[in-house]
Amino acid sequence: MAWHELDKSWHDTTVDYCDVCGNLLIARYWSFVEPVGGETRRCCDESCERLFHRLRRIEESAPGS
Amino acid sequence: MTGTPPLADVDRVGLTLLYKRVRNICDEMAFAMMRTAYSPIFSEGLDFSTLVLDRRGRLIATAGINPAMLGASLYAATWIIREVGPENFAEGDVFVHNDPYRGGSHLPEHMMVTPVYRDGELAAFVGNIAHLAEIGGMAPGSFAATATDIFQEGLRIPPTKLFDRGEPVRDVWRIMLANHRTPNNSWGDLHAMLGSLRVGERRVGDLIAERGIDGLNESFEQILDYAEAYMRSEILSLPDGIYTGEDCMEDDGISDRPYWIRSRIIVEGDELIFDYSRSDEQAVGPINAPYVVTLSASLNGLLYVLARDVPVNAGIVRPIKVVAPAGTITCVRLPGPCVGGQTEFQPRIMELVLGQILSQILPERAAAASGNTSLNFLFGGVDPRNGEYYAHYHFEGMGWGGRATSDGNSAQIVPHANCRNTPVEIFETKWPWVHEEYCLNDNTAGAGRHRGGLGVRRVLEVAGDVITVSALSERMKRSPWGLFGGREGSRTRLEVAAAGGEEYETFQDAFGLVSPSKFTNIRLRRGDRVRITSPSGGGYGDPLERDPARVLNDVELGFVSRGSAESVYGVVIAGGSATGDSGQDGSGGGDGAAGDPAVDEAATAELRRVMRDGVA
Amino acid sequence: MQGGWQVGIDTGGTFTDLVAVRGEEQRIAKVPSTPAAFDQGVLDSITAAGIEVSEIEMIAHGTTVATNAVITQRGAPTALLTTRGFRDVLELRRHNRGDPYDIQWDPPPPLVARRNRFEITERLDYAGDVVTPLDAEQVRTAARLAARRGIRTFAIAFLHSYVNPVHEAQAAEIVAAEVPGAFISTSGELLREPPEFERTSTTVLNAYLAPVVSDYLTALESRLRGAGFAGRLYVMHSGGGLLTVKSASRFPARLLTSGPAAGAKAAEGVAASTGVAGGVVAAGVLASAEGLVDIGGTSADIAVVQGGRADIVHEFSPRFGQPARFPAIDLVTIGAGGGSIAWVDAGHLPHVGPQSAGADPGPAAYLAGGTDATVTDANLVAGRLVADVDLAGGITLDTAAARRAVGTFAEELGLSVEDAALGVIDICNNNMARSIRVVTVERGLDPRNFTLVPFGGAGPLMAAELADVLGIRRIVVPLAPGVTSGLGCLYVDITHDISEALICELADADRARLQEVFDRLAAAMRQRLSDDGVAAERQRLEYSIDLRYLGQVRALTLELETGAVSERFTEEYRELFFGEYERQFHSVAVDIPVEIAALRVRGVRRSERPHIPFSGSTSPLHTIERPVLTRGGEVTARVAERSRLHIGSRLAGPLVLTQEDSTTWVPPHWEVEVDKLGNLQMARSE
Repeated sequence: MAWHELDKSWHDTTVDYCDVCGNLLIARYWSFVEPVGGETRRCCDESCERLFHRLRRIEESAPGS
Repeated sequence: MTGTPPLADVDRVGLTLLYKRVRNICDEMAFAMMRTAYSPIFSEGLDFSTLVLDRRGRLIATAGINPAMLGASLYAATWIIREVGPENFAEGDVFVHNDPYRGGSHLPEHMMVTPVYRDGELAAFVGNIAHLAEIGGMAPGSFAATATDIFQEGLRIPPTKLFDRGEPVRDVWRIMLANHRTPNNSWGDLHAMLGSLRVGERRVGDLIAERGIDGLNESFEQILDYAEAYMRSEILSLPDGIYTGEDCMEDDGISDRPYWIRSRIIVEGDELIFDYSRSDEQAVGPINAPYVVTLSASLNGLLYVLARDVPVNAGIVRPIKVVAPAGTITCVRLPGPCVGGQTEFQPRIMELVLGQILSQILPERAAAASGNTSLNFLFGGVDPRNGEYYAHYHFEGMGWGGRATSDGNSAQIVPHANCRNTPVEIFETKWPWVHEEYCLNDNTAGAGRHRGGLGVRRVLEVAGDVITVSALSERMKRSPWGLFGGREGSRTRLEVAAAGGEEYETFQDAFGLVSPSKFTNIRLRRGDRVRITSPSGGGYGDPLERDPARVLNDVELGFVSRGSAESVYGVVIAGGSATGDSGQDGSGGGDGAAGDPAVDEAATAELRRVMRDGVA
Repeated sequence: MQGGWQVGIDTGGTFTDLVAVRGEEQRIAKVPSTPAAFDQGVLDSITAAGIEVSEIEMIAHGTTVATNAVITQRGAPTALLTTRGFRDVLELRRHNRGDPYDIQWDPPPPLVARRNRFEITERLDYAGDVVTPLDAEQVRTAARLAARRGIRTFAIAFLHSYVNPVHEAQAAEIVAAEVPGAFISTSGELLREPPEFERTSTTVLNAYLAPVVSDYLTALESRLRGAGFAGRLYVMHSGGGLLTVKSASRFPARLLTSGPAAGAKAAEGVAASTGVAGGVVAAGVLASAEGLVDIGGTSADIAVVQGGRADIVHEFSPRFGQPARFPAIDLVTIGAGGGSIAWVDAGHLPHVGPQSAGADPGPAAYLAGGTDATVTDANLVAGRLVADVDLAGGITLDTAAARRAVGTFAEELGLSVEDAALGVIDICNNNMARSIRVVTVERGLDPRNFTLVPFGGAGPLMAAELADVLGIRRIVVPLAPGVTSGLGCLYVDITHDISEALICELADADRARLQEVFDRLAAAMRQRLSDDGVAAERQRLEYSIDLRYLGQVRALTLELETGAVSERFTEEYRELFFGEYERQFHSVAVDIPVEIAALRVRGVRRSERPHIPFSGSTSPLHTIERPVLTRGGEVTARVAERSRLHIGSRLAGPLVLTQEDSTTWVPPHWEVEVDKLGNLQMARSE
């Protein structure tokens, strides 16, 4: 539930992706812990945490759609 | 749909004026690029975009030229600026970048961005994106359809200084040019991009002088807010719900299997989510999409039916989320290849959104499938006329799908782009090919109440000693779909005839290829001929409901044969010549003894009844 | 013919306007156009002006004939001869669309039906060398077949003919022999530049229009001659220059915006003579007199004049995807004006235009059978038009009929007649304002810095409140606003352009060869001007060269001081190129070779801009008072005849100024002053 610096060496030219939407992580990322399972998720923006919960809610109310 | 939403306490006229002026700066930048280009892909094809961004690197306006670059326009510059850090820019710096994992669409598209300062303070950015015709990699034209990783697709450049405080960074230039097959051309086109930046820099400089840095950026913020509010009001007008659809890429050039794209659109109030998380894993070959390509396609599908006048800028994305998990075909993971994502995957998603999903809510604005491939045909070699190496990236027009109120248009560029063709006269002047034919491909359109548009046929002969050709296309195994009872359109064909021979065979048969539509580095020799046939659009609505007079007109023009008029449309035509062709031998009707062709009303009514009810 | 009349006549879809000048004398006239045979209206206008045809020295004529024929698709049935394999060039277009996000767009149907597009075996390569000779027999067969289909008009456009027009010329000869009297247009003769679609489209438009335009001009000239006309007759082209009847008949695609271009030229004249706003003026050509007959009457054309000149574009497309590549004044046309009809849609929202009552039946107030409420009717109800003044063309207005028509519209909306009339005026002004924004705001220009020059009968009536919508603070109403397009015809020169492709590196260019091409073009141009009756001493030739960096696709056109190629031409041309490149693109690379693409010659016949005499009145001003409706309530306005105003007269609104061809409404917050040229200079009072 906080912003973190994405600490990369200058000669590291790889990239990292948002765990929720797939967008690029640049310079820093937002992390949160999944309530079920307790996994840590890295995402591109705070709004992706809300998106994560929203998608889960939709999934529960209309599974398989 | 609702009109423009209210924005309180804002000088609406002043804001409109400012936005239009920034748009105009983008247009001027585009004009400079077109006029100074070396590659027909710029000057004729207009395969580029120009951008003005605020001091935080957010897109404020773009010249409305190529919608395919929307995603990259929205994110690439922003991401460069964030990765480098605005504080690390200096006046006179120009950054270049083509990294598809960092906001680029695919390697050939290069972005340049430069900061605009006033009195030592950062005020804004200007940028552009353009498709360079040749950037190295495993195949001339840099569209390696059989690439299995990004390293085969050309030279990848993360955000890199091309100019440092106004001075060219020569080492970078030399690395780039040493890796391109046609360095002179790259040099010229990169300078066209630079010139365009200079134009933008000056014009934005004028704006800053008038309004001050803070004043200008505050107005930019209002323009973003306005675009956001506009999008929200449009989304609000859609019924809440979850709408789904799917389509596929027919193969990836490496193995003979389709890759499925599964999409859900979730509308909730004034927000909308595109969810692609159930799509297939990323492909081995280069049909994968970087995140921005999936985003671009999703937004374009939406913008084709909603928010006609919205300022296209970073504000429109705020109420929208695109979920494309890394590692699926909708968001390629490094080092997956992706050159075809921009040209083949993007239109597929766009039409999936527009034609299959939004048609459930807005049938009157939707369309059946277009040919939906950029039909990339790449070639390079040494020009015998001047001894120089050349390379080109060619795309083809096609038929579009039928619409609610009219037929699909013929010979249009793939719908997610708005590029122009390269005219035959320019083509033959620049490269050693001779055209035998360039025409509409008759009798192929998907039938419907409103039929699809016709594709194009191009026949060209090699006029150099050797030309190395490659292709990256789609719609050779699966036809463009019809909508609401409309029939499928016709497929792409890529064929070759050896010098002196009359018989055409597919490239796949002639060269024993895995994929008919995706191949690299086929060597053709002087006198060999290539026949490119682009797909036609699908039909909209039941062909039996098509106005017989329009069927007759199509027969007279040669677009539809008499046979199809009867067997597909149930229209019986009497009189005129039997062929119904519009040829110049006088057989087109009206000249001969048989009289003008006309619809046999009674026979047509009976035939249509039988076709509908299945009873003779 | 010393001392003969100089006459400008513009034929719009609704009215024909005339302005004539002879020494200190001037005449104006406005008569209904005669769409069945437009030449009748031209003669009517001369009669109405009270001019002896035999005393006319020169007529400069703007005409809507070409535009009309394209819009209504009533050009001549045309055959197109193309290189074998390329008959669909016209229909393939360039594959793009005007608005990338408009997927509902339909391209214009091709002007030559596919069955009349004939493929001929012939081929040149990119350098213009013959690869396959022309098959003469196929040309003959095609010509005969076309003739059998009743076609007498031929467009010929072969690949690479811009480099070498040899096959087109041969084919034209064969067609001429095979179909006596045929009109033949070859692409190389019209446009010596690639690419094939734009050149073919231009050629087809030209051929398609030729019989219509030529028949019209021939009929007009012969009727004029029959009436004793011994002077010269010229036709206005889209770029704002004049052509002789002969040239106009050969290049009719140059006439596509003939009339509106005349209005823009008049705006240039007004800008030049009054020096408004540092020479920057937006000309709202609010012409109730302009229009396209088959759209049904009234339209307005809008041009921007900056730095004393109207903007020029190098291509005009009647519709996107139908280009005619000739220079044209940049114009936006909108269906709005005096004849625009007010109507209510299914959702009970009111609209005005684009449908128009035109000249026939015209507004309800004309008592000619029209029952729809129009902008003119609304103005009459609002008291801004005065019923008891005769309009040009002998039209009188009936207030009761106008009230009835506006009343019907008002009932549908549940409004009073008065509120409905004001609503019609407001909506019309907002429609106009939107179009003016297209040519200003859309191009980053702020209309608030512009002066509005209103033209046409309805222009000065609407101008002040239109200016209010746009934030414009200054208006110049010309002397005779209702006939301004006629006046514009008097403001132009004869011009021709020819060019030849010549591709070689500048450093390797042969001076003698360049000189030879320039000399040849110059000789051809002198011949063309002489054919137009321009005496050698009045001919002026302007030379230019197209240069680009080696490898670039597009070139810059650079004007040269002389057609004499000096020994230092390589350096001179390079410097010119670098200078212009730097000016336009803010960058220059001196180490890349420069390439020549083409040489051009323009021929001009310089004419004097006519002096329009104005002395003003010296007798005392009589005014009457009458009620006028405004958004702020009913006000008492003075009504005066404009011709009674003195030079330097200053009057404050509310004021109605009447004149034969127009009425000017000066609202309460505006004031007006008469300048020494007779223009009304209007300014918003704070």
